[in-house]
Amino acid sequence: MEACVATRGLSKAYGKSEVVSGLNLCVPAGSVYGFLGPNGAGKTTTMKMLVGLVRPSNGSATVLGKQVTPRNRVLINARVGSLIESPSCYPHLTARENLEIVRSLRGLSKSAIDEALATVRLERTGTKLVRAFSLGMKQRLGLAAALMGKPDLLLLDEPTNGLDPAGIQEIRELIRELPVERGCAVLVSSHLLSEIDQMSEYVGIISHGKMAWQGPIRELHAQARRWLALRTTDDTRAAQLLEAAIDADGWVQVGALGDDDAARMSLMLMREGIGIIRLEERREELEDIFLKLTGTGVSL
Amino acid sequence: MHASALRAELVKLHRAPIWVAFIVVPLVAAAIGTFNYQNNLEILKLGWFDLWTQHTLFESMFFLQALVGASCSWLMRLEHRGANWNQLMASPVSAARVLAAKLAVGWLMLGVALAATGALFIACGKLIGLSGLPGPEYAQWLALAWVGGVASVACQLFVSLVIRNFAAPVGVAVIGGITGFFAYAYDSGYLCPYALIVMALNSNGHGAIGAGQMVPFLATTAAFTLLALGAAVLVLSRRDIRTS
Repeated sequence: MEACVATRGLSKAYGKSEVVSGLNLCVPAGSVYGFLGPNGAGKTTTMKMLVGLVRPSNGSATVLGKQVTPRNRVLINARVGSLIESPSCYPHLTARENLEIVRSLRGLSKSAIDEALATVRLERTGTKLVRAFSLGMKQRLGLAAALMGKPDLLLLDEPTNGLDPAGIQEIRELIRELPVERGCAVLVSSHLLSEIDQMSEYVGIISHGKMAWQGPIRELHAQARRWLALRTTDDTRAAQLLEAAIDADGWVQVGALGDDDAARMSLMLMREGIGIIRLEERREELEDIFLKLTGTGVSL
Repeated sequence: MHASALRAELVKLHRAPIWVAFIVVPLVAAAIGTFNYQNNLEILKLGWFDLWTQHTLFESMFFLQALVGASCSWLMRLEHRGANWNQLMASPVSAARVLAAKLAVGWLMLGVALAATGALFIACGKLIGLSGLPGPEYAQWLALAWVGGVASVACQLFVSLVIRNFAAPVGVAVIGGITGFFAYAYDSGYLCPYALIVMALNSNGHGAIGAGQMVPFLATTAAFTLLALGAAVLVLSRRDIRTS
Protein backbone atom coordinates (compact mmCIF):
# COMPACT_ATOMS: atom_id res chain seq x y z
CA MET A 1 0.00 0.00 0.00
CA GLU A 2 1.58 3.26 -1.18
CA ALA A 3 1.35 6.05 1.38
CA CYS A 4 1.04 9.69 0.38
CA VAL A 5 1.54 10.78 4.00
CA ALA A 6 3.72 8.84 6.38
CA THR A 7 5.02 10.03 9.71
CA ARG A 8 7.47 8.31 11.99
CA GLY A 9 7.53 9.18 15.66
CA LEU A 10 6.23 12.67 14.88
CA SER A 11 6.12 14.77 18.04
CA LYS A 12 5.52 18.35 19.00
CA ALA A 13 6.05 19.85 22.42
CA TYR A 14 5.31 23.36 23.62
CA GLY A 15 7.43 23.78 26.70
CA LYS A 16 6.87 20.72 28.83
CA SER A 17 3.53 19.89 27.25
CA GLU A 18 3.71 17.36 24.41
CA VAL A 19 0.67 17.89 22.15
CA VAL A 20 1.67 15.28 19.56
CA SER A 21 3.59 12.30 20.76
CA GLY A 22 5.41 9.71 18.62
CA LEU A 23 2.73 9.69 15.92
CA ASN A 24 3.00 7.09 13.14
CA LEU A 25 0.43 8.18 10.60
CA CYS A 26 -0.07 6.44 7.27
CA VAL A 27 -2.45 7.90 4.70
CA PRO A 28 -2.81 5.56 1.69
CA ALA A 29 -2.62 7.24 -1.75
CA GLY A 30 -5.98 7.96 -3.38
CA SER A 31 -8.00 7.46 -0.21
CA VAL A 32 -10.06 9.49 2.20
CA TYR A 33 -8.43 9.17 5.60
CA GLY A 34 -10.46 10.28 8.58
CA PHE A 35 -8.39 11.77 11.37
CA LEU A 36 -10.55 11.42 14.41
CA GLY A 37 -10.06 12.75 17.88
CA PRO A 38 -11.57 14.98 20.52
CA ASN A 39 -10.85 18.71 20.54
CA GLY A 40 -7.28 19.35 21.62
CA ALA A 41 -6.12 15.83 20.71
CA GLY A 42 -3.38 17.11 18.36
CA LYS A 43 -5.09 16.83 14.95
CA THR A 44 -4.51 20.43 13.87
CA THR A 45 -0.91 20.49 15.10
CA THR A 46 -0.22 17.30 13.14
CA MET A 47 -1.70 18.79 9.97
CA LYS A 48 0.31 21.97 10.48
CA MET A 49 3.49 19.91 10.74
CA LEU A 50 2.67 18.20 7.43
CA VAL A 51 2.71 21.50 5.51
CA GLY A 52 5.62 23.03 7.40
CA LEU A 53 3.63 25.57 9.42
CA VAL A 54 4.88 24.04 12.65
CA ARG A 55 8.28 22.42 13.16
CA PRO A 56 8.26 19.02 14.84
CA SER A 57 10.17 18.62 18.09
CA ASN A 58 10.97 15.05 17.11
CA GLY A 59 10.35 12.47 14.40
CA SER A 60 9.81 12.96 10.70
CA ALA A 61 7.06 13.23 8.10
CA THR A 62 7.02 12.34 4.42
CA VAL A 63 4.38 13.92 2.20
CA LEU A 64 3.95 12.83 -1.44
CA GLY A 65 7.33 11.13 -1.33
CA LYS A 66 9.26 14.11 0.04
CA GLN A 67 10.46 14.56 3.57
CA VAL A 68 8.94 17.64 5.19
CA THR A 69 11.82 20.06 5.77
CA PRO A 70 12.03 23.85 5.50
CA ARG A 71 13.86 23.33 2.21
CA ASN A 72 11.13 21.07 0.75
CA ARG A 73 8.18 23.11 2.04
CA VAL A 74 7.60 25.01 -1.20
CA LEU A 75 7.88 21.87 -3.37
CA ILE A 76 5.47 19.90 -1.18
CA ASN A 77 2.95 22.71 -0.83
CA ALA A 78 2.75 23.10 -4.62
CA ARG A 79 0.94 19.73 -4.59
CA VAL A 80 -1.01 20.07 -1.35
CA GLY A 81 -4.22 22.03 -0.74
CA SER A 82 -5.16 22.77 2.83
CA LEU A 83 -7.82 24.24 5.04
CA ILE A 84 -6.37 24.28 8.53
CA GLU A 85 -8.06 25.75 11.63
CA SER A 86 -10.47 28.36 10.26
CA PRO A 87 -10.91 29.41 6.62
CA SER A 88 -8.42 32.03 5.59
CA CYS A 89 -9.94 35.13 4.02
CA TYR A 90 -9.54 38.86 3.60
CA PRO A 91 -12.87 40.40 4.65
CA HIS A 92 -12.56 43.60 2.58
CA LEU A 93 -12.40 41.58 -0.64
CA THR A 94 -14.94 39.55 -2.62
CA ALA A 95 -14.81 35.75 -2.88
CA ARG A 96 -13.35 36.07 -6.37
CA GLU A 97 -10.65 38.49 -5.18
CA ASN A 98 -9.79 36.17 -2.31
CA LEU A 99 -9.34 33.31 -4.77
CA GLU A 100 -7.34 35.60 -7.07
CA ILE A 101 -4.81 35.79 -4.22
CA VAL A 102 -4.62 31.99 -4.04
CA ARG A 103 -4.40 31.79 -7.83
CA SER A 104 -1.49 34.23 -7.83
CA LEU A 105 0.33 32.40 -5.03
CA ARG A 106 -0.09 29.07 -6.82
CA GLY A 107 0.52 30.32 -10.36
CA LEU A 108 -2.77 28.98 -11.73
CA SER A 109 -4.82 29.96 -14.76
CA LYS A 110 -7.83 32.33 -14.45
CA SER A 111 -10.27 29.48 -15.07
CA ALA A 112 -9.20 27.87 -11.75
CA ILE A 113 -11.21 30.54 -9.87
CA ASP A 114 -14.50 29.85 -11.72
CA GLU A 115 -13.99 26.14 -11.32
CA ALA A 116 -13.37 26.40 -7.57
CA LEU A 117 -16.32 28.77 -7.02
CA ALA A 118 -18.64 26.45 -8.96
CA THR A 119 -17.43 23.39 -6.99
CA VAL A 120 -18.45 24.96 -3.68
CA ARG A 121 -21.46 26.81 -5.16
CA LEU A 122 -20.25 30.32 -4.46
CA GLU A 123 -20.30 31.48 -8.08
CA ARG A 124 -23.21 33.86 -7.49
CA THR A 125 -21.75 35.90 -4.63
CA GLY A 126 -20.67 38.60 -7.13
CA THR A 127 -19.49 41.81 -5.49
CA LYS A 128 -20.54 40.81 -1.97
CA LEU A 129 -17.62 41.33 0.39
CA VAL A 130 -16.46 38.38 2.46
CA ARG A 131 -17.07 40.35 5.67
CA ALA A 132 -20.79 39.94 4.91
CA PHE A 133 -20.48 36.15 4.45
CA SER A 134 -21.95 33.69 6.92
CA LEU A 135 -19.61 31.24 8.65
CA GLY A 136 -20.79 28.53 6.25
CA MET A 137 -20.01 30.67 3.20
CA LYS A 138 -16.55 31.43 4.59
CA GLN A 139 -16.03 27.71 5.10
CA ARG A 140 -17.00 27.08 1.46
CA LEU A 141 -14.57 29.79 0.38
CA GLY A 142 -11.82 28.12 2.41
CA LEU A 143 -12.62 24.82 0.71
CA ALA A 144 -12.56 26.48 -2.71
CA ALA A 145 -9.11 27.88 -1.92
CA ALA A 146 -7.88 24.45 -0.83
CA LEU A 147 -9.24 22.80 -3.98
CA MET A 148 -7.65 25.28 -6.39
CA GLY A 149 -5.05 23.82 -8.69
CA LYS A 150 -6.28 20.24 -8.25
CA PRO A 151 -3.83 19.24 -5.54
CA ASP A 152 -2.65 15.64 -5.14
CA LEU A 153 -3.35 15.81 -1.42
CA LEU A 154 -5.92 17.76 0.54
CA LEU A 155 -5.64 18.45 4.26
CA LEU A 156 -9.03 19.48 5.61
CA ASP A 157 -9.34 20.38 9.26
CA GLU A 158 -12.97 20.03 10.39
CA PRO A 159 -14.24 21.17 6.97
CA THR A 160 -17.96 21.00 7.79
CA ASN A 161 -17.73 23.48 10.68
CA GLY A 162 -20.43 26.13 10.38
CA LEU A 163 -22.24 24.51 7.47
CA ASP A 164 -25.97 23.82 7.49
CA PRO A 165 -27.13 20.16 7.19
CA ALA A 166 -27.53 20.39 3.40
CA GLY A 167 -24.07 21.96 3.11
CA ILE A 168 -22.56 19.27 5.33
CA GLN A 169 -24.03 16.55 3.09
CA GLU A 170 -22.80 18.34 -0.02
CA ILE A 171 -19.25 18.71 1.30
CA ARG A 172 -19.17 15.08 2.47
CA GLU A 173 -20.15 13.93 -1.01
CA LEU A 174 -17.54 16.21 -2.55
CA ILE A 175 -14.84 14.77 -0.28
CA ARG A 176 -15.92 11.19 -1.03
CA GLU A 177 -15.74 11.86 -4.78
CA LEU A 178 -12.34 13.56 -4.77
CA PRO A 179 -10.21 10.37 -4.92
CA VAL A 180 -12.33 8.97 -7.76
CA GLU A 181 -12.75 12.13 -9.83
CA ARG A 182 -9.43 13.85 -9.24
CA GLY A 183 -7.18 11.08 -7.96
CA CYS A 184 -6.65 13.18 -4.87
CA ALA A 185 -6.01 11.78 -1.40
CA VAL A 186 -7.80 13.52 1.46
CA LEU A 187 -6.78 13.72 5.09
CA VAL A 188 -9.86 15.03 6.85
CA SER A 189 -10.05 15.68 10.56
CA SER A 190 -13.16 15.67 12.69
CA HIS A 191 -14.21 15.13 16.26
CA LEU A 192 -17.43 13.53 15.00
CA LEU A 193 -17.34 9.79 14.65
CA SER A 194 -20.41 9.59 12.42
CA GLU A 195 -18.93 12.11 10.03
CA ILE A 196 -15.70 10.17 9.60
CA ASP A 197 -17.71 6.96 9.22
CA GLN A 198 -19.65 8.46 6.32
CA MET A 199 -16.66 9.92 4.47
CA SER A 200 -13.58 7.79 5.03
CA GLU A 201 -12.12 4.49 3.95
CA TYR A 202 -9.36 4.71 6.52
CA VAL A 203 -9.39 6.10 10.00
CA GLY A 204 -6.80 7.17 12.51
CA ILE A 205 -7.88 7.85 16.07
CA ILE A 206 -5.73 10.28 17.99
CA SER A 207 -6.06 10.86 21.69
CA HIS A 208 -3.84 13.05 23.89
CA GLY A 209 -1.42 13.36 20.96
CA LYS A 210 -0.99 9.61 20.52
CA MET A 211 -2.34 7.37 17.76
CA ALA A 212 -4.80 5.06 19.47
CA TRP A 213 -5.75 3.04 16.40
CA GLN A 214 -5.53 3.30 12.62
CA GLY A 215 -6.61 1.14 9.72
CA PRO A 216 -9.43 0.58 7.23
CA ILE A 217 -12.78 1.59 8.68
CA ARG A 218 -14.32 -1.65 7.35
CA GLU A 219 -12.11 -3.53 9.83
CA LEU A 220 -13.91 -1.75 12.60
CA HIS A 221 -17.30 -2.47 11.12
CA ALA A 222 -16.32 -6.15 10.69
CA GLN A 223 -15.68 -6.36 14.41
CA ALA A 224 -19.14 -5.15 15.24
CA ARG A 225 -21.02 -7.72 17.33
CA ARG A 226 -24.57 -8.46 16.07
CA TRP A 227 -27.52 -9.88 17.96
CA LEU A 228 -31.28 -10.20 17.89
CA ALA A 229 -33.44 -8.34 20.38
CA LEU A 230 -36.91 -9.66 21.17
CA ARG A 231 -39.98 -8.50 23.00
CA THR A 232 -42.41 -11.34 23.70
CA THR A 233 -45.60 -12.02 25.60
CA ASP A 234 -43.45 -13.78 28.27
CA ASP A 235 -39.89 -12.41 28.22
CA THR A 236 -38.68 -14.34 31.29
CA ARG A 237 -39.70 -17.73 29.89
CA ALA A 238 -38.46 -16.83 26.41
CA ALA A 239 -35.06 -15.96 27.91
CA GLN A 240 -34.95 -19.31 29.74
CA LEU A 241 -35.89 -21.30 26.62
CA LEU A 242 -33.39 -19.44 24.42
CA GLU A 243 -30.71 -19.36 27.15
CA ALA A 244 -30.54 -15.61 26.59
CA ALA A 245 -30.13 -12.57 28.78
CA ILE A 246 -32.56 -9.72 29.31
CA ASP A 247 -31.00 -6.26 28.95
CA ALA A 248 -31.66 -3.23 31.10
CA ASP A 249 -34.45 -2.08 28.80
CA GLY A 250 -36.22 -5.46 29.08
CA TRP A 251 -35.25 -6.82 25.66
CA VAL A 252 -34.32 -10.49 25.34
CA GLN A 253 -30.92 -10.64 23.69
CA VAL A 254 -30.12 -13.60 21.46
CA GLY A 255 -26.79 -14.02 19.67
CA ALA A 256 -26.77 -13.35 15.92
CA LEU A 257 -28.67 -16.07 14.04
CA GLY A 258 -28.92 -17.04 10.38
CA ASP A 259 -32.30 -16.93 8.63
CA ASP A 260 -33.04 -20.64 9.25
CA ASP A 261 -32.14 -20.46 12.96
CA ALA A 262 -34.24 -17.31 13.38
CA ALA A 263 -37.23 -19.10 11.77
CA ARG A 264 -36.71 -22.16 14.04
CA MET A 265 -36.52 -19.87 17.11
CA SER A 266 -39.81 -18.14 16.30
CA LEU A 267 -41.56 -21.49 15.66
CA MET A 268 -40.23 -22.89 18.94
CA LEU A 269 -41.53 -19.86 20.89
CA MET A 270 -44.87 -20.17 19.13
CA ARG A 271 -45.10 -23.86 20.08
CA GLU A 272 -44.48 -22.86 23.72
CA GLY A 273 -47.33 -20.38 23.46
CA ILE A 274 -45.09 -17.30 23.53
CA GLY A 275 -45.97 -14.59 21.03
CA ILE A 276 -43.26 -12.38 19.49
CA ILE A 277 -44.24 -8.72 19.77
CA ARG A 278 -41.02 -7.18 18.39
CA LEU A 279 -37.95 -8.69 16.71
CA GLU A 280 -34.98 -6.45 15.81
CA GLU A 281 -31.51 -7.11 14.52
CA ARG A 282 -29.00 -5.00 16.44
CA ARG A 283 -25.41 -4.10 15.87
CA GLU A 284 -22.74 -2.77 18.16
CA GLU A 285 -22.18 0.99 17.77
CA LEU A 286 -18.93 2.06 16.13
CA GLU A 287 -18.22 4.17 19.18
CA ASP A 288 -18.33 1.08 21.40
CA ILE A 289 -15.84 -0.65 19.09
CA PHE A 290 -13.52 2.33 19.31
CA LEU A 291 -13.69 2.21 23.06
CA LYS A 292 -13.09 -1.54 23.03
CA LEU A 293 -10.09 -1.17 20.72
CA THR A 294 -8.59 1.73 22.53
CA GLY A 295 -9.49 0.93 26.08
CA THR A 296 -10.97 3.83 27.94
CA GLY A 297 -8.34 6.23 26.65
CA VAL A 298 -10.53 7.68 23.90
CA SER A 299 -13.51 9.75 24.67
CA LEU A 300 -15.27 11.13 21.59
CA MET B 1 1.57 30.88 -15.13
CA HIS B 2 4.15 31.41 -12.42
CA ALA B 3 3.42 31.99 -8.77
CA SER B 4 3.48 35.65 -7.80
CA ALA B 5 3.45 36.78 -4.21
CA LEU B 6 3.57 40.40 -5.41
CA ARG B 7 0.39 40.06 -7.49
CA ALA B 8 -1.31 38.50 -4.46
CA GLU B 9 -0.25 41.46 -2.29
CA LEU B 10 -1.51 43.96 -4.86
CA VAL B 11 -4.96 42.31 -4.88
CA LYS B 12 -5.13 42.86 -1.12
CA LEU B 13 -4.89 46.63 -1.70
CA HIS B 14 -8.35 46.71 -3.34
CA ARG B 15 -10.73 48.72 -1.20
CA ALA B 16 -8.07 48.84 1.51
CA PRO B 17 -9.23 51.17 4.30
CA ILE B 18 -5.63 52.24 4.89
CA TRP B 19 -5.79 54.44 1.76
CA VAL B 20 -7.89 56.93 3.73
CA ALA B 21 -4.79 57.64 5.85
CA PHE B 22 -2.82 58.33 2.67
CA ILE B 23 -5.18 61.20 1.87
CA VAL B 24 -5.73 62.54 5.37
CA VAL B 25 -2.16 62.45 6.76
CA PRO B 26 -0.36 64.34 3.92
CA LEU B 27 -3.29 66.78 3.89
CA VAL B 28 -2.90 67.48 7.63
CA ALA B 29 0.89 67.83 7.25
CA ALA B 30 0.45 70.24 4.33
CA ALA B 31 -2.19 72.26 6.22
CA ILE B 32 0.06 72.62 9.29
CA GLY B 33 3.08 73.47 7.13
CA THR B 34 1.21 76.09 5.12
CA PHE B 35 -0.28 77.61 8.27
CA ASN B 36 3.19 77.89 9.85
CA TYR B 37 4.62 79.41 6.69
CA GLN B 38 1.85 82.00 6.42
CA ASN B 39 2.27 82.97 10.07
CA ASN B 40 6.04 83.44 9.86
CA LEU B 41 6.39 85.34 6.62
CA GLU B 42 8.55 87.99 8.32
CA ILE B 43 11.36 85.44 8.82
CA LEU B 44 10.59 83.01 5.97
CA LYS B 45 11.72 84.92 2.89
CA LEU B 46 12.79 82.11 0.56
CA GLY B 47 9.40 81.36 -0.98
CA TRP B 48 9.11 77.76 -2.22
CA PHE B 49 12.11 76.54 -0.19
CA ASP B 50 10.70 77.85 3.11
CA LEU B 51 7.28 76.42 2.31
CA TRP B 52 9.04 73.09 1.61
CA THR B 53 10.81 73.04 4.98
CA GLN B 54 7.58 73.94 6.76
CA HIS B 55 5.72 71.18 4.89
CA THR B 56 8.31 68.46 5.34
CA LEU B 57 9.87 69.18 8.76
CA PHE B 58 7.09 67.59 10.79
CA GLU B 59 6.08 65.31 7.97
CA SER B 60 9.46 63.58 7.77
CA MET B 61 9.73 63.39 11.56
CA PHE B 62 6.15 62.31 12.46
CA PHE B 63 3.59 62.02 9.72
CA LEU B 64 5.46 60.06 7.04
CA GLN B 65 6.96 57.73 9.62
CA ALA B 66 3.55 57.16 11.19
CA LEU B 67 2.13 56.48 7.74
CA VAL B 68 4.88 53.95 7.00
CA GLY B 69 4.22 52.39 10.42
CA ALA B 70 0.46 52.24 9.79
CA SER B 71 0.79 50.80 6.28
CA CYS B 72 3.23 48.11 7.45
CA SER B 73 1.01 47.30 10.45
CA TRP B 74 -1.92 46.97 8.08
CA LEU B 75 0.04 44.77 5.66
CA MET B 76 0.97 42.43 8.49
CA ARG B 77 -2.41 42.61 10.24
CA LEU B 78 -3.96 41.17 7.09
CA GLU B 79 -2.11 37.95 7.89
CA HIS B 80 -2.23 38.13 11.70
CA ARG B 81 -6.04 37.98 11.49
CA GLY B 82 -7.69 34.57 11.69
CA ALA B 83 -5.76 31.79 10.00
CA ASN B 84 -4.40 33.85 7.10
CA TRP B 85 -0.79 33.01 7.88
CA ASN B 86 -1.76 29.35 7.41
CA GLN B 87 -2.92 29.90 3.84
CA LEU B 88 -0.01 32.15 2.97
CA MET B 89 2.69 29.89 4.37
CA ALA B 90 1.03 26.69 3.14
CA SER B 91 1.36 28.12 -0.40
CA PRO B 92 4.27 27.21 -2.64
CA VAL B 93 5.98 30.53 -1.92
CA SER B 94 9.04 31.00 0.28
CA ALA B 95 9.06 33.26 3.34
CA ALA B 96 11.59 35.49 1.55
CA ARG B 97 9.26 36.00 -1.41
CA VAL B 98 6.27 36.69 0.85
CA LEU B 99 8.20 39.38 2.71
CA ALA B 100 9.83 40.80 -0.41
CA ALA B 101 6.33 41.22 -1.89
CA LYS B 102 5.16 42.99 1.27
CA LEU B 103 8.25 45.21 1.15
CA ALA B 104 7.51 46.12 -2.47
CA VAL B 105 3.89 46.99 -1.64
CA GLY B 106 4.89 48.96 1.47
CA TRP B 107 7.44 50.82 -0.62
CA LEU B 108 4.80 51.53 -3.27
CA MET B 109 2.53 52.94 -0.56
CA LEU B 110 5.34 55.21 0.63
CA GLY B 111 5.68 56.35 -2.99
CA VAL B 112 1.99 57.30 -3.01
CA ALA B 113 2.45 59.27 0.23
CA LEU B 114 5.46 61.12 -1.20
CA ALA B 115 3.65 61.83 -4.47
CA ALA B 116 0.78 63.27 -2.41
CA THR B 117 3.32 65.34 -0.44
CA GLY B 118 4.73 66.78 -3.68
CA ALA B 119 1.31 67.47 -5.17
CA LEU B 120 0.06 69.15 -1.97
CA PHE B 121 3.27 71.22 -1.77
CA ILE B 122 2.66 72.67 -5.24
CA ALA B 123 -1.09 73.08 -4.64
CA CYS B 124 -0.56 74.90 -1.32
CA GLY B 125 2.18 77.08 -2.82
CA LYS B 126 -0.07 78.17 -5.64
CA LEU B 127 -2.98 78.63 -3.25
CA ILE B 128 -1.04 81.11 -1.10
CA GLY B 129 0.21 82.91 -4.20
CA LEU B 130 3.85 81.82 -4.58
CA SER B 131 5.12 82.74 -8.00
CA GLY B 132 6.13 80.22 -10.67
CA LEU B 133 6.70 76.56 -9.89
CA PRO B 134 9.26 74.89 -7.57
CA GLY B 135 12.50 73.72 -9.19
CA PRO B 136 13.27 70.10 -10.19
CA GLU B 137 15.37 69.58 -7.02
CA TYR B 138 12.20 69.05 -4.97
CA ALA B 139 11.19 66.12 -7.20
CA GLN B 140 14.72 64.76 -6.76
CA TRP B 141 14.44 65.02 -2.95
CA LEU B 142 11.11 63.22 -3.02
CA ALA B 143 12.58 60.48 -5.22
CA LEU B 144 15.55 60.13 -2.85
CA ALA B 145 13.19 59.98 0.13
CA TRP B 146 11.36 57.18 -1.63
CA VAL B 147 14.64 55.31 -2.17
CA GLY B 148 15.86 55.86 1.41
CA GLY B 149 12.40 55.19 2.83
CA VAL B 150 12.59 51.54 1.83
CA ALA B 151 14.77 51.05 4.93
CA SER B 152 11.97 52.43 7.17
CA VAL B 153 9.47 50.16 5.42
CA ALA B 154 11.68 47.08 5.92
CA CYS B 155 12.23 47.90 9.62
CA GLN B 156 8.53 48.51 10.19
CA LEU B 157 7.59 45.25 8.47
CA PHE B 158 9.91 43.43 10.83
CA VAL B 159 8.44 45.23 13.85
CA SER B 160 4.87 44.52 12.71
CA LEU B 161 5.70 40.88 12.07
CA VAL B 162 6.94 40.45 15.63
CA ILE B 163 4.40 42.74 17.37
CA ARG B 164 0.92 41.63 16.32
CA ASN B 165 -0.75 44.74 17.71
CA PHE B 166 -1.60 47.50 15.18
CA ALA B 167 -0.83 50.65 17.16
CA ALA B 168 2.43 49.70 18.93
CA PRO B 169 4.48 49.47 15.70
CA VAL B 170 3.11 52.87 14.63
CA GLY B 171 4.47 54.20 17.93
CA VAL B 172 7.83 52.58 17.16
CA ALA B 173 7.82 54.32 13.74
CA VAL B 174 7.14 57.73 15.31
CA ILE B 175 9.88 57.23 17.91
CA GLY B 176 12.12 56.09 15.06
CA GLY B 177 11.31 59.26 13.12
CA ILE B 178 12.15 61.52 16.08
CA THR B 179 15.34 59.56 16.75
CA GLY B 180 16.22 59.82 13.07
CA PHE B 181 15.65 63.56 13.07
CA PHE B 182 17.97 64.12 16.01
CA ALA B 183 20.52 61.61 14.71
CA TYR B 184 20.67 63.64 11.49
CA ALA B 185 20.86 66.90 13.43
CA TYR B 186 23.93 65.53 15.28
CA ASP B 187 25.54 64.25 12.04
CA SER B 188 24.79 60.62 12.83
CA GLY B 189 21.99 60.11 10.35
CA TYR B 190 23.58 57.06 8.79
CA LEU B 191 23.23 55.21 12.11
CA CYS B 192 19.45 55.31 12.06
CA PRO B 193 17.28 53.87 9.25
CA TYR B 194 14.49 56.32 10.00
CA ALA B 195 16.86 59.28 9.42
CA LEU B 196 17.24 58.48 5.73
CA ILE B 197 13.87 60.03 4.82
CA VAL B 198 14.70 63.17 6.84
CA MET B 199 18.09 63.46 5.14
CA ALA B 200 16.72 62.91 1.65
CA LEU B 201 13.91 65.45 1.99
CA ASN B 202 16.29 68.16 3.24
CA SER B 203 13.45 69.06 5.54
CA ASN B 204 15.52 71.04 8.04
CA GLY B 205 17.34 72.90 5.31
CA HIS B 206 20.78 71.57 6.35
CA GLY B 207 21.54 70.77 2.73
CA ALA B 208 20.45 68.21 0.22
CA ILE B 209 22.25 64.94 -0.41
CA GLY B 210 24.84 65.74 -3.04
CA ALA B 211 26.60 63.48 -5.52
CA GLY B 212 29.38 62.79 -3.01
CA GLN B 213 26.96 61.50 -0.38
CA MET B 214 25.01 59.33 -2.79
CA VAL B 215 27.12 56.19 -2.29
CA PRO B 216 26.97 56.16 1.54
CA PHE B 217 23.27 57.04 1.37
CA LEU B 218 22.45 54.16 -0.98
CA ALA B 219 24.77 51.75 0.83
CA THR B 220 23.18 52.57 4.21
CA THR B 221 19.71 52.21 2.72
CA ALA B 222 20.62 48.80 1.25
CA ALA B 223 22.29 47.64 4.47
CA PHE B 224 19.35 48.55 6.78
CA THR B 225 16.84 47.13 4.28
CA LEU B 226 18.64 43.81 3.90
CA LEU B 227 19.22 43.54 7.64
CA ALA B 228 15.56 44.10 8.52
CA LEU B 229 14.30 41.92 5.68
CA GLY B 230 16.73 39.14 6.61
CA ALA B 231 15.64 39.27 10.24
CA ALA B 232 11.98 39.08 9.17
CA VAL B 233 12.66 36.12 6.86
CA LEU B 234 14.46 34.36 9.69
CA VAL B 235 11.54 34.90 12.08
CA LEU B 236 8.91 33.82 9.55
CA SER B 237 10.73 30.74 8.32
CA ARG B 238 12.13 29.50 11.64
CA ARG B 239 9.25 30.15 14.02
CA ASP B 240 6.03 28.15 14.18
CA ILE B 241 3.13 29.87 12.47
CA ARG B 242 0.78 31.23 15.11
CA THR B 243 -2.81 32.16 14.35
CA SER B 244 -5.08 34.38 16.40
